[in-house]
Amino acid sequence: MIIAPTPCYFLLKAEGDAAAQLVAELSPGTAADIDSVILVSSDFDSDISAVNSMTRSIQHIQDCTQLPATSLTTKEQYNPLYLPGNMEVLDEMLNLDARTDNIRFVGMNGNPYTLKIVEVLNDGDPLITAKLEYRPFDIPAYSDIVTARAAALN
Amino acid sequence: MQAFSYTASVKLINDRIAAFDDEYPGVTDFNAASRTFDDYNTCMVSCKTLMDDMKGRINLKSPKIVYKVGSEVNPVYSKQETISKDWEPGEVARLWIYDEKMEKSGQIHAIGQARIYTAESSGRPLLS
Repeated sequence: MIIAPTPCYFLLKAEGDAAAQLVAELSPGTAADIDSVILVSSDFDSDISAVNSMTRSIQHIQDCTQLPATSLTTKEQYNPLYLPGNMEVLDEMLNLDARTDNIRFVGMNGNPYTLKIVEVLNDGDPLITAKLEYRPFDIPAYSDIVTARAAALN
Repeated sequence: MQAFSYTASVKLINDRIAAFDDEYPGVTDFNAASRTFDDYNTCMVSCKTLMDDMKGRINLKSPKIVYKVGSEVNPVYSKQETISKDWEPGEVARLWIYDEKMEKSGQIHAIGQARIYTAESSGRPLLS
């Protein structure tokens, strides 16, 4: 587990009914004309606040769409780099390049700065995709992460 | 047959008050992509309505600065000089949300921009 030293922000993409409902709050006359909306937040010093704000935004859009809960599927994924837990979960996000002995982060769509991804599907079609990211920083070496994780668990 | 679409980007924060903060805490940037329209007028009316509504929302939360919506048409079509010099191929017009006090000074402070594009008959934007 590592603690990111940088602020974080979130991006939220709304499509289909979600985009229409979001725009309807601002500009009812054009709601049907918009295919997709991307919202970007300001920087948060607290990742907990950012997660809460992203969750609240997603919930607000879902509530507005009034789609039946049975048609909605929500997938949430947290980056184990930033969470205490089993080292094997983190290892699943890494890929060892045998040619260079480099360890590459391949989880979270290959972006190690992503803390959380949320996907809401409506009958399998994308409705809301949200991603919370830290601003880039120097990520510690794998050995340091292992040591820090062991210390956190002791 | 020509087709048209638009994109709109608006900064929702002003004087540290986010116009969107009640429903979407912390959100400061709004970006939208429209459907494809069969004619320019319908596309322009939709785009102007969106920008007017966004401006209205921002002005409600902005006690000191009053924003207005202005527009420019690509000189390729209008044959008139514009403040914008970076027109892209396929771009027909731009709308701005800007501080009206800055208009006379020539230093326009825009917080929103929408771009209208013409698209091929396939419906695919020339620029994507």
